[in-house]
Amino acid sequence: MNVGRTVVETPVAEKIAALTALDTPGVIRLEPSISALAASLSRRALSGWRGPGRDGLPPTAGVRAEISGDDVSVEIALAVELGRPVPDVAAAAQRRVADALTELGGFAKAAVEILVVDVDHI
Amino acid sequence: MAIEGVDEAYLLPCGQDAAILWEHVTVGQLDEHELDCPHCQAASAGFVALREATGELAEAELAPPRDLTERIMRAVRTERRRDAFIPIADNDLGPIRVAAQAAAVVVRFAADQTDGVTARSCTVQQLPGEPDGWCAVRLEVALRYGVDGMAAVDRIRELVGAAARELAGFEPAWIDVTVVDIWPGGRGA
Repeated sequence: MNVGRTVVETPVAEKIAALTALDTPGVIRLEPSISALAASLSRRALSGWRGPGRDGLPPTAGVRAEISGDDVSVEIALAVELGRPVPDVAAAAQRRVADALTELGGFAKAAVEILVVDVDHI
Repeated sequence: MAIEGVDEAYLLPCGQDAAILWEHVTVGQLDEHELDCPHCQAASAGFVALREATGELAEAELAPPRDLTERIMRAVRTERRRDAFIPIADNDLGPIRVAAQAAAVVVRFAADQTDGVTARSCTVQQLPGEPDGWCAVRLEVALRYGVDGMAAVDRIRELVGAAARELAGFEPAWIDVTVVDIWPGGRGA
């Protein structure tokens, strides 16, 4: 029997990346650019507004994913808690997101770029 | 960023105040500079998209979240930070970069730990032609009256150097410190 194709769409990859990054100790928030914020406020994202996002915004604002075949690459812009070592927090987020994308998302390979846009108090 | 003095206004890289640009976008009248400037054009395109998106929200009869405005203005403010990133790592998963202004926040935080010292402004800049993460640090500080200035500056360099390497992840090739003010406080204060 042919079991059929399994497809994980880009918004799902972005959500996995966002939630995993936010779950990393020392990551205090994602940092969407103006254009990313605008995009995430679009009608397509409206369904996410009623969800559990901390401030009502779609949780993926600040994450951009591109899927190519079985691979995925994501860019995550985030803020790190002031006083925590930025390289360690960023590397931990990077590793956790890559693992989540391969384990939960089923991607063969995940490239993860981390942009630390802000360092702030909680 | 909540630390005072890091971003005094919502200024775009060209110096234009984002709040003024927002007003001009709202009334549909951009001035000569705004029409010509790539930073203003990019920001106004973002504003237009935001206005359309929030218009859709109104049509959908959903109240925007209370802190939406704050998030928008934070995005406007941090947009400036996306102009200059310092590469601090590049492993098998991909690169890690920190905004130069975020690195400067760490430097100011470290300098503020020195007794009798208040950090004023700070810039961190990747040195062209040097390895990734090698940066020039320029720091302006105010000292409390009565503090031994040279000893304080030595201590600042020590703390800033350690914070740059361990907390921010970049290598300070040099740390220029300028004392720009003295504030009264007395030796025992």
